[in-house]
Amino acid sequence: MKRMIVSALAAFILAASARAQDPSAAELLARVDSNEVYSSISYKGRMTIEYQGKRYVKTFEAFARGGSDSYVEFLNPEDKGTKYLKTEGRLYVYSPDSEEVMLISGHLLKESMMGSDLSYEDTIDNEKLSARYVPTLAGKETLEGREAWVLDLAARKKTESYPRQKLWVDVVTGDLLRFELYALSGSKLKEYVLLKAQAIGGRRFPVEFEMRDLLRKGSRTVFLMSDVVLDARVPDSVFSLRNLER
Amino acid sequence: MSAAAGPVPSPVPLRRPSAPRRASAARRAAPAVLALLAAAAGAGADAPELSGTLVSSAAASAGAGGAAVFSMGWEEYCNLRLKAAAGERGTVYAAANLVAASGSYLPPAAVLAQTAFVAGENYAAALELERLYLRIRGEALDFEAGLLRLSLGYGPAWRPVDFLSPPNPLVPDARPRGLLGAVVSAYPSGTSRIKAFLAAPTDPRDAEAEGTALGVAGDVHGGRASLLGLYAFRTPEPGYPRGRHIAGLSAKLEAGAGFVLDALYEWNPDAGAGWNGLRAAVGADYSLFGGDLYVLGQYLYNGPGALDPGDDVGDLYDSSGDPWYETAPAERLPAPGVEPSAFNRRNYLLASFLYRFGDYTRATLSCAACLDDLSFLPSLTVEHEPFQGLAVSGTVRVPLDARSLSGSGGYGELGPANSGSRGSVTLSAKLRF
Repeated sequence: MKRMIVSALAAFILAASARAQDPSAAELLARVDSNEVYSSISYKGRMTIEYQGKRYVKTFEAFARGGSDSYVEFLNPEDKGTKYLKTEGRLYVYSPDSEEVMLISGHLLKESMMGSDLSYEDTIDNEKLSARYVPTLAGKETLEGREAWVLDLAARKKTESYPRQKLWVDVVTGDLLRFELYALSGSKLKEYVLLKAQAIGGRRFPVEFEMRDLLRKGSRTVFLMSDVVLDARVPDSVFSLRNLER
Repeated sequence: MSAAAGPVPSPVPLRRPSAPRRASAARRAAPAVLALLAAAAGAGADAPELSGTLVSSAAASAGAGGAAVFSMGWEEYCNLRLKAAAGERGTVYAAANLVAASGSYLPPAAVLAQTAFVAGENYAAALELERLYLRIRGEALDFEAGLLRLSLGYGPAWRPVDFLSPPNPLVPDARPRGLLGAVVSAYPSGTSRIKAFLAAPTDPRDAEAEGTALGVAGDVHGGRASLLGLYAFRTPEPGYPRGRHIAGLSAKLEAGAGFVLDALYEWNPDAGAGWNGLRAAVGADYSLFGGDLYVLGQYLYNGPGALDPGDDVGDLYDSSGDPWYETAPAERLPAPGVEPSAFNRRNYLLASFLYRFGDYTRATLSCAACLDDLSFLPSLTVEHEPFQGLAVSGTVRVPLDARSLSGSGGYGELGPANSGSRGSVTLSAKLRF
């Protein structure tokens, strides 16, 4: 009996010490933020969109700053000259067909951007997750042979597009290997899978990933970034109507 | 009645602006533009950018109001655009419309003889210079001069403030017509701008600068609202001995839905103030079902319209010959002192519903209505993208008015007799490159 009590105590102490070494949910989320949230970014992008048996490829050049400013100019022949500017909470589009800057109404921001699995909101979202969600550590799983912490996130505000998120964070590298975005009803809306992360400027940054909008059956978008520059100064003039009209 | 300028609606909508073209000017410009575009296509890595759209169309119409009982036409249309850097600060822009057409896409013979069309067996061909301008980017100001596009206002369909090249919701795919002029732009902040502009006289053959437009417009964007103000002056011209003062206001508000007000007031000092000077549109847009359904509604008050609410649509036309409703639209002569335009009455309404069946297929059901004579122009367009860069579409239009529905009552402005069509079908394939 005495031996059983000692064994149980030992097991409890071991388990407790093991838990003490686990990072907290807040620490894990802060690590994700430190890897993926930038003060500024510029890159060349390539979106490969597969949907209903069709394959679209769109190339573009993008700049973003903080969580509020972004500028994208499409370069592929079919969309050449189409430009997007998001600044001060509003989205502007320049169309080479109409040769005018159009304001995108707020209710359209949830729509797919250029036929991809990302909405306008997804592409301009760069705020820290830790500021917007309350994390809970839900365990550890293995994804494609990589051990990952599983985080459940609950939105702090009711206005979040995705009230709940589920994240898989690589135990070793801190890479965000996968995340899932949920509606208020609990149904899964989107899935993200990391395909490749690179060490850029002392951080692990996702340069290739796949996004699936589950409301578009059989759809997926592979997002590839090259020539990524993080946290360099981007002139104010990039995020301006003047740049959109040039 | 008051005079208003603008084109007469066509039974089969023309894709490009349909202003008369002078053969000699266009023919002189054609080789230069083609040479420029060819040079762009063959250049190297830092080459000028060449892009555009190619549209193949076929249309058929069941005639009404003196038009042929049945007509059809084919058109091959290309809009070629060139953008070339000129030094560190300059950029040259050029665009040309290339057209090969047959049948109902062709202007009537009387107009054809005066334009740059070259008509032969099987088809007629044309080249139209659409844009040709330079932009110089300064430290504080940008300067543009040439044949360019100046866009003003936020109205989604009708946009009175865009008075130099107003969009026509009956021809939503048309490229906006350019204007010959100059624009100086200043940008006090990232989301505000001021534009001072000068536009050549309305009549290009006028050498006395009559009707030249000078103006300034400024707009500013906030978190949920945008505001644009405009003032312009048109120099004296026949009918306006002291010129015209033009003031405009455009506002867009985000409040769940998008709300837009777009208004222009034109004051003729010799005619005094009045409602006839006001052209204003109010509208809203909203999306439902996760963005699959987009709904747009807009009302237009068209003060300068040639017809008062009690006038007959026949008052637009000369009554000395055959009845207007037995004469094809292209052969009708306007009544003395009247210049028929795309919209001649006072009150109009537009409702449009766009539904997406997926990323590659969508349908748009829209209806323009003239509230003064209860005539309607409903249309249904179905568009599909078989692969990246190609869109095929079909559009059906059925002009309606009281007379076409009941066999009695008056003719309506948007109705079959005035538009010359009981119904039309247009099929097209559009390739972007």
